[in-house]
Amino acid sequence: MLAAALLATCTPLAEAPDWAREVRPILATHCLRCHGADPETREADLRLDDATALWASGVLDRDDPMSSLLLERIEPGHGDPMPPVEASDPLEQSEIDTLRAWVAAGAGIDDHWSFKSPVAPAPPMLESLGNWPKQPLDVFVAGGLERAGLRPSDPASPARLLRRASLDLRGLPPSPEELDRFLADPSPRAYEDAVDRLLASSHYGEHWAGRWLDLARYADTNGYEQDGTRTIWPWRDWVIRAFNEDLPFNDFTIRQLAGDLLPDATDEDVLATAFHRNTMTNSEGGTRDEEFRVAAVVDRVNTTYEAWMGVTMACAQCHAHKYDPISQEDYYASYALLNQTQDADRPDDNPRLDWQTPEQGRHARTLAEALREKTQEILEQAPRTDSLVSIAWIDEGLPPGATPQGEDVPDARWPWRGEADTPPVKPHSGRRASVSEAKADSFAQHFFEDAAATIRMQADSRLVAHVRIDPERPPKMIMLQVHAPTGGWEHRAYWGQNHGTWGVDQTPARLPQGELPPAGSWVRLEIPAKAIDLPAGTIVDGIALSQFGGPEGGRVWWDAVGFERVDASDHDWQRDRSAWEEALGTVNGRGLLPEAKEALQVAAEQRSQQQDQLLELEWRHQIGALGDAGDEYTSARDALVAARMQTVSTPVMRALPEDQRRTTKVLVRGAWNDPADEVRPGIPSALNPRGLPAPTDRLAFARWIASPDNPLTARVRVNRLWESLFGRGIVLTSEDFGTQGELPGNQALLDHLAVRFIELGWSQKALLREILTSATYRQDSAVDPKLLERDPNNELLARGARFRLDAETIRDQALAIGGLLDPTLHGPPVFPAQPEGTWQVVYNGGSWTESPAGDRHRRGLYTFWRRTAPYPSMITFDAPSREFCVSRRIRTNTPLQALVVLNDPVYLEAAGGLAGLMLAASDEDEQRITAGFRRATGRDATTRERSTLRALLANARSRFATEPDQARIFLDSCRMPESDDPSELAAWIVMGNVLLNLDEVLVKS
Amino acid sequence: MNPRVPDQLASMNEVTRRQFLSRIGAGIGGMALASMLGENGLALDETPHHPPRAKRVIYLHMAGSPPHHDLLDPKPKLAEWDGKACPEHLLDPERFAFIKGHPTVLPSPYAFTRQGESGIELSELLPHLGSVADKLCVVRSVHTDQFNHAPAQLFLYTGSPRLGRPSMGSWATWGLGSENQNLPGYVVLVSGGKVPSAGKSVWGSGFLPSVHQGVQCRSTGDPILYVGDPAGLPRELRRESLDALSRLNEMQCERMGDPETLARVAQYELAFRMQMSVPEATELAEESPATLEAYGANPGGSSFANNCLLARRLVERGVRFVQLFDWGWDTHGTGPHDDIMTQLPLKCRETDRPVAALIADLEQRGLLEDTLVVWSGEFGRTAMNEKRNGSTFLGRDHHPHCFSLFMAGGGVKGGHVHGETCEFGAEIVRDPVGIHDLQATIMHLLGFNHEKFTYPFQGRDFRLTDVHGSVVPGLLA
Repeated sequence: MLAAALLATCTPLAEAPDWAREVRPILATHCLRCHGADPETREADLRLDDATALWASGVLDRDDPMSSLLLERIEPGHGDPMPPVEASDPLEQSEIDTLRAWVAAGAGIDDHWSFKSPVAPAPPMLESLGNWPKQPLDVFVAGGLERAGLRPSDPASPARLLRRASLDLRGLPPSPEELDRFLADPSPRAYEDAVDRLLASSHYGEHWAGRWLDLARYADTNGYEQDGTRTIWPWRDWVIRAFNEDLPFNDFTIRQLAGDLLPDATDEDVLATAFHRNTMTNSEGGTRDEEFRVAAVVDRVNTTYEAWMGVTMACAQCHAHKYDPISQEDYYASYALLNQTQDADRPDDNPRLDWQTPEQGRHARTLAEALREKTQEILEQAPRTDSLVSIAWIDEGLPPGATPQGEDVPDARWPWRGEADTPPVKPHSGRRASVSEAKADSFAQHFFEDAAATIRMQADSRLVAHVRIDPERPPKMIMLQVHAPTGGWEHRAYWGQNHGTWGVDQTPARLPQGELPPAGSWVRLEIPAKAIDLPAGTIVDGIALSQFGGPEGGRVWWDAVGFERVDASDHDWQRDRSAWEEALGTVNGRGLLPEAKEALQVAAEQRSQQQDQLLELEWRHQIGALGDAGDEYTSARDALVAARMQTVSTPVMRALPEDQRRTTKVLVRGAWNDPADEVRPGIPSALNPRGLPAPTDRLAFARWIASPDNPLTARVRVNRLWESLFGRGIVLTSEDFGTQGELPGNQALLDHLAVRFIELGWSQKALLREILTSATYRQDSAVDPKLLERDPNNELLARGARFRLDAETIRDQALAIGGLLDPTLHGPPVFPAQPEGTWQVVYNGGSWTESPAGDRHRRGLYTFWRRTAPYPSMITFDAPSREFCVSRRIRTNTPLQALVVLNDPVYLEAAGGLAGLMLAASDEDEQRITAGFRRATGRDATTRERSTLRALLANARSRFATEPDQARIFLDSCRMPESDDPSELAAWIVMGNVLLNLDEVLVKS
Repeated sequence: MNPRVPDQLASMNEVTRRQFLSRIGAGIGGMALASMLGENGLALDETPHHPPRAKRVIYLHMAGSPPHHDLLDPKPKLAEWDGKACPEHLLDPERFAFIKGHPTVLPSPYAFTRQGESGIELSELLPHLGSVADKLCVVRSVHTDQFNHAPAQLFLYTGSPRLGRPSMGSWATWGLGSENQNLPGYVVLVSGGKVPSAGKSVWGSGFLPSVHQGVQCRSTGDPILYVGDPAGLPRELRRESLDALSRLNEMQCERMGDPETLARVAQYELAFRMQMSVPEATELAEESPATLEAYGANPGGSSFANNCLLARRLVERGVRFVQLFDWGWDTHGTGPHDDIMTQLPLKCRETDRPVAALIADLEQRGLLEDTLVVWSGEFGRTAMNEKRNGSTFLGRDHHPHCFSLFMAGGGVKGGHVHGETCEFGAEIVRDPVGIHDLQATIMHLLGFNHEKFTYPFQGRDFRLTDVHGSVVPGLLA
C-alpha cells in the first residue's frame, strides 16, 4: 500500500522487515491457515505467529539462523515444499527474500498494533509546513505530507466549506439565508462560529444517529419470513437525543449495552438497551425459538465487537480465529456475558418497556400545569357541600380507593356520560350516569372490588340501582354483582334471560329477578341484601354493572347505585372530607391524581394551599360536588390521566433472575443444538489479560468496552467519525482492526485522535469541532492529475474530501433544496411515496399507505424500514437492509442511481419545489437561474454554467410551448398543483431536475 | 452521445480506470465503464477458475414447493398403503409443520409415463415437459435441512437459512459481470401474485456491493423501477437535459479533477440507454404468434408463461442470471385452493407448457448449450396426507429429507435421472445431493471452484456454499 509504505518511515528503514506490515501478511496469506492460532487446524504442532511457540518448535536455528528448517522448506525446488502446492500459491521470490531478512534479523514478532492501548504520539518536527497547522491533529497530517514530499491544498472557498461542514454535521445543505449570513460575517471566527451553530442544530443528532443505526441493524420490522412490524423507534429517538445532547461516548456505550443493570436505572437507561433488541425474531409456525434465540445472541456478540471494537468475531463462533488471537472458548465466554437476558425469540418480543416519550411527557406536563392553574377558579364556583345528601355508592363518582376495571373501562376510566356528551345522556340524578356498551351476544361490564370506604350490611339493607335500557339496542340480560372481601363475587341478581356461567342459577349467587325492565326510561331496581347472601354484618367493597348484548349489542345506563338502610357512618366520606381522607389513607390514595396522593401523605396542617385545594377538588370530584365547573374539571382531569398513560411499548434487555440464569456451553461448529464444554463468562485475554472485575456480567463487559484502557474502542470510534467526514477511515477497514484488517495509513494521527477523544471526556461534538476547524479538513478538494496519480484515494490528505453522499442525505438534501423538507424530529416511522407493488409481502402484509404531505417529506431516517422489502431508492444508493451490523457502506456508482434521481416521484416533487422557488425568486430568468443554482450547490454559477442552463431552459420552453397538454401531464407527474402557465412551470421543473442531478450536488466536496 | 472527455483529463485515465474498477466491481456499472475506457477484461480478480459450461442461468422456482410424488418421482408402492396409517419409521424422529397424530399414506392420484428416448418417467400433469424429456437431468435425491419456506428458500439461494448472505445470482454477476452493459446482470421475475416467502432477501446481494442485487422486473408499471421517464416529459427533452447535465458535469470535472465525475457522466448515459433497452427487452409483442402460442404467453399480461418468454429474451441479450418465482405450490390440502386435485393441476397447466417451450426455444436458438435451466421448489413434501384439522382435501406437508428438481442445458446430462428415494419417497437411498452440493455444481458449471470463490466479510472469507458442498460429477455432461 502506497501510504503505508510512505508512512512506515516513522521508524527509519532498518534491515529488519516490519513484522506487522511486511512479514505477517505473507504468513497470513500462505501459512497461518495451517500454522496459525487455531489449534484444531494446526499442522505439525507449528505455530508461526507466536514468538514462544515459534522458537519452541525447532524450525529456527538460534546459532545459524540462515540454515533454519523454516527457510530451507520455503526455498524453491525443495522436495517437500512449503506451502504445499495444494494448499496455497507458491511464495514469490520477493516474499522469500523478506522472510529471509526477517529471520536474519532475529525473527521478531510484535503484538498486533491495535491490541496495545494508544499512547499520545510525539508530534513530528515540521520543516516547511510549520505554519500550516490550526489544530494539533494537523501536525500529524503535515508530518505525513512532508515525508511524502507533498504540500497541502489551499483552503476551500468559504461557500464550499460551509456546505461541506453543513452536510457533514447535520446531513443537510446550508439554506441560502445561512449562506448569506456566513459570507457576510466579517469575524475572523466566522467559520468556527458556523461550526458551533451546526453542532448545536437538532438535525446534528439525526444525521449521526443514521450512521449508528447501520451498526445497530435498526429496522421497523423483526425480520425473517413474517417480518412483522416492531415498535422500536423510541430507541432510535433515544439515539438522536443522545447525539444532540452529546452524551459522552462511554456513557452512550454503557447504557446501550447494560443500561438496565445500572444502579438506579431510569426508564431512559433501560430504553437504551433496545440497541441489542434490534436482532431479528422468527415467529413462523414450527420454528424452534431456542435456535433463533441463539442466533440473536450470536449476532449480539458479533455486533458488539464490530461496532465498538472493530474486532471480527464471527469466525470464532465455529473455530478458533484463524488470524486473530481469539479462541472458540473466548467467543463463548463473551457469548456467556450476553446470554443472560430474558428475551427468547418470542413472537411478542418480550420483555418490553412501556416508554413515555419526551413528547408525550411534555404533553402530560402541559395538561397538569393547565389543571393547576384552574384549581382556584373551579373551587370558587363550587357549591357549599353541607347541602349534599346521598345514599348511593356509584353516582357522581366511585367510592374512595375504587379502581375501575372491565371491558368498558378504557385507560382505567369509568365510562361516565352526561348531557354534555354526544349523544347526550340525561342522568337519573346529578350530572352524570355510567354507560355500558356490549357487542352482540357478548358480556360487557365494569366494576370495582377494592373500595377503601366499605359498607356494613344491616338486617334490612337493600341493594338499589337505577337503570335505563336503550330501546334501540336492548341487551338480553342485565346483572348486578356485589363483592365482599369474604365471599367474593357470589352475590348476583339478574333480569332477562340467563346468560353466563358464574354462580349456580336460582341461588343467591345467581338470582333471577324476572323480565328485563322496560326500555327507554329510568327504572329503579331493588333487591333485599339478604336475598343475595349478604346478611347483617357483611362487609361489601365492590360492585359490578353487567349486561349481555342482544343481536345488535346492548346499551345500558346505570346511575345512583348503592345500598339503602345501611349505617349512615359508612357514607360519612360523602359529607365529610376528613372521613374521605381517612378512608383513602388506608389505601395510599389509590385512584387520586399523583399530586393529590402526595398531598394526602402530608399532615393536614402542613399542606400548602395548593395541596389543600387539590384534595378539595379531588374529593368534590369524587362525590360530584363541583357544580357547574364539574364537567370542566372532569374532562381536564381525564385528559391528564390519559396523557400520563400514553406510552409506547418497546422491546428492551432485561437480565434473567439469578435462579433462571443459563449455562453457556461451546457450540460445536456454532450449531445451536450441539453443545460441548461449559464456559465461564469473560473476554478474550489477548485484549485484556487482567479480565473483568466481578461480577462478570453484562455491565462489567460494557464498562470494560467503554474504559480508556480498552485499546480499541476510542480508536474505532474516532476512525468512524473520520470515515464519515473524509470518506475513508484512517484504518480503511473500519469494521476490522484485527490482523486481517488494513493497517492505519497514519497511526500517529489515529492514536492522537483516540487519546484526544478520551481527554475530551469522550465528547464527540468536541472532537468533531477540532477536526472540522483543522487545516486538514478545510482544504479545497480540487485535485490535479499529478496529485491524483500520486494519491488517488487521498490517503495522505493533501486535499479535501470529495465523495458521493449517502442514501439518506441525497434524499434529504433534495427535499431541502426543493423547500419541501419537514424538519420535525422524532416519532413513529413514516411512509413516503413508493411505487405500487414494491411492498408485496407474504405475511403480516399490511399495506404501504403513503403518509400525508409533511410526513412524507420527513428526513430519510424516519422512513419505515422493512428488512425484507427495504425502501427501493435507499437500497439503490447502497443503504444496507439492516439484517446485520454494517460498518461501512460500499459506495457504488450505477445507472439505477441515475434513474432514481431523474425519475423517482420524490425527486420530481423536489424538482417541482425548486422550480417554484426559482420562479418566486425574481421576474428575470437570469436571476432565477442564479438563485436555483445557488440553492442546489451553495455557490454562484459561472458564466458558462449559466449559459448552458439558459440554453436548456430555451429548449424546455419550446418543447412544452408546442405541447401544453404534455406540460400539464408532466406537472401531474411531479405532483404539482394547477398552474396558470403550465408550460413555463414545466420548463423550470426540467431545470430543477437537472440541478438536482448535478454531480456537484450528489457529492460532498 | 458519448461524453466528451476533456483533453487535460486524458492523463487521468490510468488512475481513473483503477479507481472505478476497484469501486464499482463488475456488473452493469463496471462492465460498462470498462468498455468505455477501452478495457476488455473483467473488473475483478475473480475471473472464472476454469472454462465455464454455462454462461447464464435461468432458475425457475416453484415457490411453496411442488410435491415430488405427483410430478417427478413415481412411487407405485404407495397404492398398497392407500389410506392406511403410515409406517412408524416415517414419523420418527420427524417434526412436521402441520401434521398432527398418525397420518395416512397418500398415493399419487396421477399416472406416470415414460417419455422420450431416455424413458424418464414424468407425471401426466406435465404432458408438455415430456416433449423435452431427453434434455432433462432429473435429480430425485435433493435434500435440505430446513422445513419452513423462508429459511429453506434462503438456504437454497444464499447457502444460509438466515438473512444477510448474497444470493446465487449476486455471486454469479459479481464473478462474471454482465454481457450486456445496457441491462442489469441479475433479473428477477415474479408470478402468481406474491413474492416468495423470504421476500426480497432471496435476491439480495448481502455483503457484496449492492450493484449485484437482483433487479426485479415488474409486469405492471415500469419494468424496472424508475426506468420510464415521467409522464409528459418529451423524450427529446430528456436527451437535451442529459446533454446539459453532461456539459455541466464536465465543467465540474475540469475544475475539481475528480475522475468519479466522469464515471457519473457515463452512468447517466448508460441509464439513458437502459431506458430504451429495458422496454425493448421486455416487449413480448415483438415475438411471433407461433412463439407466443408455444409459451402460452400473452403480451401485456402477467403470467409465468410471460416470464419464461421474457427470461429467454433477457438471456438472449446477455443477462447473466434470471430468476423466476411462481407462487402457489404449497399444496397442503386445506381446501381446493391448495390441494393436489384442483390447485396442483392448475399450477401445472400454468407452467408445464411454458417450461417445455422455454427449453425447446433455447435449444432451437442454440442457447441451451451454455444456458443452465433449473426447476425446483425449496423442499419436498410428505408421502402422507396432511389432513389439517380433518380436512377432506388431499395435500402433503413439508418434507426436507428429499425432493426432486430438474435441470437442462448448460453442461448437465440430458435424458438422465440422478439419485433415488425409498419406496415412500421419504428418504434418499442413492446419490444424495445437498443444497450446498447443488450450489457447488452450479458454480462449477459457471466456471468457479466454489471453495475458492470467496468474499471477505466480518473477518471471514464467505462463500456461497458456507463450509460445505461438493460438485456432483454425476450431473455433468
